[in-house]
Amino acid sequence: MHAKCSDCSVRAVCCLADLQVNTAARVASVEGHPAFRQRMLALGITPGSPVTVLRAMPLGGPMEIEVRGTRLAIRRDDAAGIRVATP
Amino acid sequence: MRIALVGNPNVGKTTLFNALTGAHQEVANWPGTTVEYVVGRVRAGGDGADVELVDLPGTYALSAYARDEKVTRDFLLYENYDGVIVVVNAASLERNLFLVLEVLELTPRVVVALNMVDAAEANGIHVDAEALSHRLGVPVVPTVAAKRKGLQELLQMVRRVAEGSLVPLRSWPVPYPEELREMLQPIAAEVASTPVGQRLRPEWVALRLLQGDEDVIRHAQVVPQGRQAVNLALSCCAQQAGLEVELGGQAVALDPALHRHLRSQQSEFELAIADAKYAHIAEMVVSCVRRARVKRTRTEVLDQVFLHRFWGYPLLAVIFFVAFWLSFIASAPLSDDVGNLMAWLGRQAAVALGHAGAAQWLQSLVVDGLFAGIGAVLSFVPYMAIFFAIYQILQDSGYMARASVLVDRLMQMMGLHGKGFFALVSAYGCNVPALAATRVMENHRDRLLTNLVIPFIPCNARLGVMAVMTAAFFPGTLGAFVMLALILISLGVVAGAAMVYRRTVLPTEPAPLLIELPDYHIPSLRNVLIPTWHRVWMFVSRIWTWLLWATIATWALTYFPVGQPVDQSLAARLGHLMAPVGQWYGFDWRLMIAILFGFVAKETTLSTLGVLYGAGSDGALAHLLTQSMTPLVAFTYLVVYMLYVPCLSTVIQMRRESGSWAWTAVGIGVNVTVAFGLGWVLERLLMLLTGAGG
Repeated sequence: MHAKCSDCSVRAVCCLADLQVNTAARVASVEGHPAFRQRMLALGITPGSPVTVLRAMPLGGPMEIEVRGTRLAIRRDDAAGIRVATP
Repeated sequence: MRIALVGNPNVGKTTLFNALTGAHQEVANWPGTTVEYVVGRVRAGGDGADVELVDLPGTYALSAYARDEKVTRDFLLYENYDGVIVVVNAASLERNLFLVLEVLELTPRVVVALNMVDAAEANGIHVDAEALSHRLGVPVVPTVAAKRKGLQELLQMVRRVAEGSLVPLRSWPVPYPEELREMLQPIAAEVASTPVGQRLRPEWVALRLLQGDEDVIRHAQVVPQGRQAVNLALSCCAQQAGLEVELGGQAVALDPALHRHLRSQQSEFELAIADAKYAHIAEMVVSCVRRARVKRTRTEVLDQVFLHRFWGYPLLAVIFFVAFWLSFIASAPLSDDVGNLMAWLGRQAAVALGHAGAAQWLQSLVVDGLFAGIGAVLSFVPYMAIFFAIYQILQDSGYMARASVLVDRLMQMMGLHGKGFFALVSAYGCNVPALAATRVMENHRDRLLTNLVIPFIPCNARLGVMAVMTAAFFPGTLGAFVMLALILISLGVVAGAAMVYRRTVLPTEPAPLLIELPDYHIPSLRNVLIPTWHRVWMFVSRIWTWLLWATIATWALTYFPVGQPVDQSLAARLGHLMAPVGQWYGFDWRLMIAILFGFVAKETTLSTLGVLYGAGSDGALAHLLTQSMTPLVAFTYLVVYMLYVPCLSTVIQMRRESGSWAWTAVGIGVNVTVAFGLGWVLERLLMLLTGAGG
């Protein structure tokens, strides 16, 4: 479990950094530095949007996700600010 | 007529620009930044006769995250233009439409170029341009810029929109929810009577005020009505946040707790606004895009290899090795040829001067000063050209983004950003283009940090000198270990310096990493050649005077006073001045002079030493060097030589990339201190060890 995502008590809502590869989920909330949050919103990571983790780099490296038809790479620490709900 | 070209990164915007303008381009620097944008005239004939196109840096939104994006935003906000072409990638329309909506909120004089429709079709995505045009209210023209398809139609539409003969269907593109609109309208009404509101759309300003956009707030507050609008926006936020705030004229000074509350409310608005846009986009996409499920796209297949958890890394090593080899090793004979040609030309000129009866010193100046200087500048050109071409290919093809992802974890451990990896690797070839390659980083501090540590990496020229000296002092296998030790020392210094800089003067985490992994595609020749030419030309035009004067100065120092042996020259006197410093390390005056002259160009170090030691050929120099110092002193010299001040060209480039002489001076100061400091420590340490051993 990601260090910044320790309060993952409710199983259904967790942070993106902890999402398994090839699991579909929906974004629940987006947190981060204001400018970075703005960037995430602009790239389509908004609450309710479906997100899938496509692959994760070894040793805690960045993960590749697909959001709204676009593939993005995001560092795991930064993905910890995105909460997702799995169906 | 002036048309701005905007779009997300990786949508073929620059391809479109190049296809429309051909060679009629000019690179401009945005005032006060290192950000470049290109202005071009549309090729004559057809509808483009008098159209001037401005290719603005790629951006995902108008909220200015990176400096490049701010240039795009500032241009759209404060410059004059007659229309905007928003280039979108048909294959990832959803994300691209976000920028379209943001631009449409600012100006209705927009034409959308629906680019890369062929690639989208190949991926099973069909976009109904007419339906999309109907929904957006502005013309949408399908194009394939790489194949020059749809360009004439695009120009025709742009002309009609810019001239006002084609009026956009809608005045406002995004249907915001009722509660948002209720707040927007009074603020917009207030803004409308201000100069800002007359220049920009009041609704847009109102939106930005609600989001707490600092740039817009600053601009709005210049006039009383603007201040009122800002306060109105603040009070809306306050109401939403459930705060009772007296928002008079002095409302700006709020206590921190309240301010935090307001900030969180503003980010709520931000979320609501982005949400409304994407909701609207989702609805448009449903009615305009048909998706046939293709099994697996080319990009997905390639990524299974290139981004493989294990195989991705050896592949990265191979790709970067080939890139490195082509730029710096395969190009070496070319650079030598250029240098030799200039030397030959210099000798011819000297002979001609001799016939004309010119003085001896003038002949020498022409050969060893003037032509040597020009040769030094021009011999940069072959590998600069090859390097930048390869850099452009790696960028354009989509591989560079993958490489950043692969190495990000490793770079992060050193406090550096994944995007800086290629720059660090290429610094082993030449520090100068490596500094230019740091531009891919969005965050200023990340870039600056990478710029500051790059000079610690020994370039090709330094490695060459190091190899010769190592071979002389440590023959056989020992030499290989010494070289390895030197490279490890430089790596250690790079990592150490990066960490120290992060903890002291640049105290932030590396910027967040969130990058798009674009579809792979084969870059076109034109798209590689044009930027390569721009970059090489920018470098040469900037560096040539510096390098020429420095070479002439070097020449003068060794030539004068006339007729004296080399150990009586001005250079020798300078060397003797520095000898006390050298004594600490066991370096004699000749080694100090070689260090000093190495600043002009590292390549000259061996020839300087050759002249100073009176050696005829390289072999003789090696022998003379081993006579004059112990291996221990030689090793210390190598460490100092590897790490001290970068060459003149690097300094000039560093000034350009960092945008400040102060930071450049800091970089050089740290370089010199670390080089001589570490050299001293190593020397004492080795002395102790060998003393104990022997």
